[in-house]
Amino acid sequence: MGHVGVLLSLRLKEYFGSLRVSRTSLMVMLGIVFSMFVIGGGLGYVVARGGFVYWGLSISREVLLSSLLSFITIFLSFYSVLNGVGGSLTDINYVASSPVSPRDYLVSDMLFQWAMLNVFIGPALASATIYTYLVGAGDPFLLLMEAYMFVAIGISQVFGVLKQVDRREVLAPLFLAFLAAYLTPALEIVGIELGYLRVLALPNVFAELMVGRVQPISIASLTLQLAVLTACYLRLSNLNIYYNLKPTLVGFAPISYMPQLERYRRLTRLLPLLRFVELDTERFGSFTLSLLKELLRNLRSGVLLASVPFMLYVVFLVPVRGRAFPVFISLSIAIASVELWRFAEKPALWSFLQSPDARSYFAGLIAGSALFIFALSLLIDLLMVGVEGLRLIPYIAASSIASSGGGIYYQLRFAKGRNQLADAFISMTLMGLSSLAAIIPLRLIEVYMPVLLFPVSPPYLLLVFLAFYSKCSRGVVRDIGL
Amino acid sequence: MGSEGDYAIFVEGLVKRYGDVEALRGLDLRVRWGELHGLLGPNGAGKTTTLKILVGLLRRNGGRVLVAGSSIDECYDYKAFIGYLPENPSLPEYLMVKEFLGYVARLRGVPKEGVGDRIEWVSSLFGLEDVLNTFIYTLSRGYRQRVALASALIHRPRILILDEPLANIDPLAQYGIKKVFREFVSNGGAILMSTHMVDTAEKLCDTITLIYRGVGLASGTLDELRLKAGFKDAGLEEIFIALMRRAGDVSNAQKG
Repeated sequence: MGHVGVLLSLRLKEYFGSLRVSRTSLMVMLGIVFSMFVIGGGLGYVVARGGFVYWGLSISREVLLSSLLSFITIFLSFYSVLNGVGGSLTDINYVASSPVSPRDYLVSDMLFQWAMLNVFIGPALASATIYTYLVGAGDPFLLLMEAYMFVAIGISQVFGVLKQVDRREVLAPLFLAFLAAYLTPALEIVGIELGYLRVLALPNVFAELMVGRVQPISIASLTLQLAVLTACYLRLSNLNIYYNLKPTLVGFAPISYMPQLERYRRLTRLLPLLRFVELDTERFGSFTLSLLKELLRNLRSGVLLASVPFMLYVVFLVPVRGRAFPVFISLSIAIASVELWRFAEKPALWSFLQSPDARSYFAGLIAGSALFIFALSLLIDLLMVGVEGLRLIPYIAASSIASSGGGIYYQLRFAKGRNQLADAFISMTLMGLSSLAAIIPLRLIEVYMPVLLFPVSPPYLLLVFLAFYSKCSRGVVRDIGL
Repeated sequence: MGSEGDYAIFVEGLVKRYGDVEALRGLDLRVRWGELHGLLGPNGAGKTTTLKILVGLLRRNGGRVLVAGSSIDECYDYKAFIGYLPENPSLPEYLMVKEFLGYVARLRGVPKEGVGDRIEWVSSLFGLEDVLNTFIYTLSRGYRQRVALASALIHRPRILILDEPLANIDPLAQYGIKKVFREFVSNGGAILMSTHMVDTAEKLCDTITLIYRGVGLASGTLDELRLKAGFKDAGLEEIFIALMRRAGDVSNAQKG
């Protein structure tokens, strides 16, 4: 265990190092911590009330807590099954080539992940615990949550090592069994009683402990499972995990995002249609070419896949309905599109700016991006809502133009690439605000002069497009003297 | 010819496949103690793959590898003898140079109390005294390369495995670094460095292995390579091109 402290300290300094030199980074981090503290108050309120109703389903606080724990565990484990044992580029270059035992590496990784989870989830848990304790609605469950985080990380590391050492014959059945057990809280949400079977999943047992309704069989299951997990961990942490270590940890500093991009691209390659679509550079003018290039860029870089997590968040965690739904969907796709543009194309901007017609690039970039986001959002809207969704076309279009334009504008003019966390957070906030600002006038027209909504929309959308085009192109083109 | 345990690095029949692509096809490589050995080849020849296998970052599909007389399989202790410079040495941006060097020293087994002296030593070797308290993100590419080189030497390894060590470094600094390399081998250490710069290999290395499409074309001193290529006074560039053409002919003939 000689290297654990050094490794942990190196990782923490690497990841949170930008807070030492950037006031913006510090403010963003404090903002995140504060917002999580507020969200945690909501969790505490729900736990104190004894549950809540979601989409017509009555969810008890015990099921809520076990679902939360299951979600964290499945999320971490799924990531490990996909990527194996993760590391930063520093880990690969300097740690894996040093005489550091895999166990030291894994233990320090566990402590680091626990610290990271605490930065983002810790404030919410603290706030929820304080709330429930103050209103006398339950015992403080913070310690149990914190203990469970180690269990969740340990489980994900076991999967990660199995993937890393290529033991697929063990990994596949084990992961399926794990999923079957850890999805049981979802069954309880829809009202299916599991009886004693529920003790197979540790989140259910921990949730019982948290609400103080624990059964003897749960304690027996907990003891047995922790013993098995510890034995597996000790056995697997002796194996050599340094072969083919991938840079899966993207820090808040500017390091390569290529592994993530590569994964999206690999999945995109599965769509045979994309192999046959090519950009015909002899046929179109510079604006159309730029627009088509942007459409292809979105398809090939896997924007659809990258936006799935944001969409799931919108659909399941923030149950927005009505007019807000397609707007949130378009915002989700725009976030993925701009984020991937930031990593895949922004570094190559110099080549486009060499063109004497650089303005066409920006016009095509914003138009192509907005068109892609609009088309995809409309499709999802129609699938989810039906033809009724056509009424919302002006809103979807306005949100698509404004959110992508706002994101690109921020990336071009302000994002320095020194701190990815701050860049991503500010960019997403600005995209949300741009989208909101663009749809407010439409909403006012719909409320006060509904008959004018469709006739007024096209010129209004053109104005929104021109505003962002002008903002994006003017500054950058002026900077390079074109 | 000594026994395999006498070599700093002994590689025999090394094979590495990435899916269907065979990156290394039975490479042999010998690096003696007190020798600066160059691994010279065009892009995609298999140089970086070879070095990554030696430092334990990639698993090989075949062949035998001994480093400092030890087998590298499922073993980490041999890494204490190695100093490694990766091809693109990314550095943690928000660490100061001094902090980074200190961390690497600790990871590679330098005791706490010796870290300060080691940092002082490597910073004087690579001209880093003025930037020790500087954040890495503010450094130029050349300085970053020097920091990475310093980290490879900080634990006083016996073997240096360096991937394009002189990339991005200005001529004056290169001169100093070459002196450090010469001193390292004259003290009995061994260096294996990859490069695709023929001039550097010719002037700096004691022995060279020419690698092309995953196989070694020839290995030895410049005179030995001349002999193998059948040129009397040829430079390394001519030798390399001639051997590559021959290998290409053979491979084309095999395909035909």
